[in-house]
Amino acid sequence: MTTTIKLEEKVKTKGQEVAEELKIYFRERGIYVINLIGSPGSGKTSLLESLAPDLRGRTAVIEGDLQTDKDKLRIERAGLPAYQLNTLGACHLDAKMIRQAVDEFSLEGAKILFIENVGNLVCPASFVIGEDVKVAVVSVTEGDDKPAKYPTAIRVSSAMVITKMDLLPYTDCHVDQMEADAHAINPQMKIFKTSMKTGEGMKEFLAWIEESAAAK
Amino acid sequence: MHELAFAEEIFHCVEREARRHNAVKIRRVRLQVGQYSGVDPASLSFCLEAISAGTIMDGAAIEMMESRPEWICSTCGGFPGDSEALSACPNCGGALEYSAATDLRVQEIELDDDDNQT
Repeated sequence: MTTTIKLEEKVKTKGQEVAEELKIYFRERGIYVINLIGSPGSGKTSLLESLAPDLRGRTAVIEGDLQTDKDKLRIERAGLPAYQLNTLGACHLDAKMIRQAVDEFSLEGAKILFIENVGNLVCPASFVIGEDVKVAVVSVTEGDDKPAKYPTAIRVSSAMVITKMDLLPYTDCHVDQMEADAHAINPQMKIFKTSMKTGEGMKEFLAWIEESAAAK
Repeated sequence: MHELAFAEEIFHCVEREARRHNAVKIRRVRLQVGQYSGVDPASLSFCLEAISAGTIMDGAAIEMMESRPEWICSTCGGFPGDSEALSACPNCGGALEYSAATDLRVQEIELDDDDNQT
């Protein structure tokens, strides 16, 4: 006999389950977690280096790259404890990798944890890894069409940090267009226009981080 | 690129229901794919076909319905449609919840059970 079974069951991958466990783990320890996503060379590591002096003593960083511990070393030189994950080819970090990292990496004293994802504006947007928020990093040198062309990254991110504003005069990038496109996709998105060279916009971004972390 | 992980979980769900109902064959699986679930339907189909080969789910028709963000009644599950102005469900008075269409769901499964056992 043929029977139809009504289910309406939500399908969760193992990764999504681990991400939920991680969220509880971080909440219990009062750690605010920011998942930093953006293209290779958009300035994710430089952004963390610039924030380091203000966040020292209460912030830890997990770095994700296909290969090398170059970013971990940069972050450590900037004065923050860092742990390097190498995905050996995978295009994004997943929750299981983060669980492995927190097993080995002491988060003692950390109130803020940055997870710098693999440089990629596509795949990391589709994965939760236990974070409170995602922040998208987009540089003016990439071109102003990036928010419109990579809408998922914009939709899932609470804030967008536009970097390399000091280079704006040398590009054809229209920052207004970038902002308008981002807000059309995600009206609540906070946007920060920054430069690590001049320090532009960094006070505002730091204040937003502090405020968001305190609200947890 | 995580469609294989979703396909495996869908398969586990179907297999569990098949056991529960003493099924001998799965005829049809209906999925609801949220517009913002991050799941690519073509890739999910491919993965489901690949992992069902030689199993009870081999040859099952896979139906995928795309769901869009909308207001849904939390009590009767009804779809009051374009109802941002409404504060309660027009059908039953239940509270309306916003569904962001980020879920992937197994809605229903059609199966043949073993008449000799039931």
